[in-house]
Amino acid sequence: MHFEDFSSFLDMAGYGVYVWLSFGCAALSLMILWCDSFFSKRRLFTQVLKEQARQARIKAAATQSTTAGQSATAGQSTAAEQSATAQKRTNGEQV
Amino acid sequence: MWKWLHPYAKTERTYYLCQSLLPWFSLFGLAVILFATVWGLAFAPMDYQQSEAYRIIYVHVPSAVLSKSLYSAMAIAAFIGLVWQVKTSFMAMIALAPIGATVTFVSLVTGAVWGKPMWGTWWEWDARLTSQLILLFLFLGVISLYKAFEDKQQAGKAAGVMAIVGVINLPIIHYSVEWWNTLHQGASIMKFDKPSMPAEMLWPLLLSILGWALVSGAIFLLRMQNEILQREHRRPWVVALANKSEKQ
Repeated sequence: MHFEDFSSFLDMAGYGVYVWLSFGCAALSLMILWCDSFFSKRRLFTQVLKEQARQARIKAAATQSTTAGQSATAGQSTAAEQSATAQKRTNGEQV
Repeated sequence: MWKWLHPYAKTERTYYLCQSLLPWFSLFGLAVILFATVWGLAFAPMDYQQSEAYRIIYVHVPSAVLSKSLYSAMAIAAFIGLVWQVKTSFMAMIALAPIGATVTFVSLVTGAVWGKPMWGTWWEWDARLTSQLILLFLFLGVISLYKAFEDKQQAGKAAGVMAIVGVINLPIIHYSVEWWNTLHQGASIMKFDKPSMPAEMLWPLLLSILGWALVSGAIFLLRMQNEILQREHRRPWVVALANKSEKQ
């Protein structure tokens, strides 16, 4: 150990402010960067799940409307199209 | 010879490679950086000229070295992406840019904080400091250019060209202390034949550079995974992965 006691370690021969300011800035910057990288991964997963739930809802609504009435109206055919698109999306195809 | 590399053009494979490397980089990076910093701060001898203030070197030099290495890595990734049209290469480029910007920022701030007690000024428009500031702007430029495009393939190309053009700044930074009269001192550790630093000071410095490199590597792996997830969010394997992470 180079320093005699803890207070002289903190003091850094009078340069304490500069030394600790630079180390603090480095630690803080790296920490912020790491947190941003770490939490955006979680956020991305939640987004994927949200999108998946939305597709499932669209699909459910489409099947419900096609089973409810037999007559093919314009509205129902778009619902069916949507369900087909949703199916393709969940299969990972390019739409 | 290079065939083993081909599967990594597939994003899923790259994602899992990052996943398996991540704990090692994080663990060793954190351990090495803590060890080297404590060594440099508390155990290394005092400098006869700068007293204890020289200890800023243990954060200033690693960040400065990393800023240039990360820029080179980013430019190489951009070059590979442009020449061989590798999608994952552009993802690597844009994953590296914020890390590079952060370490460049740290090197500038720690340099200013070191300059105040030693040179009597926080900032001077001299060659080394200005070229390092331009490096920060280049990193920020690459990030903003990439974000300006909706189509990420186009974004990768545009930002990639900028990253490659900016390489010209790297030799300017390196030789600025020789070409111009600057406040900044010349190189002291890159002279491998005879480093002008005693071993007790040099070892913690080299170790802290290694620590910074490993930590940057760990953050890169995380950001690379994020880029892949963002670009491939409709793929079944990503959806399956999201479902799995939800259950945990």
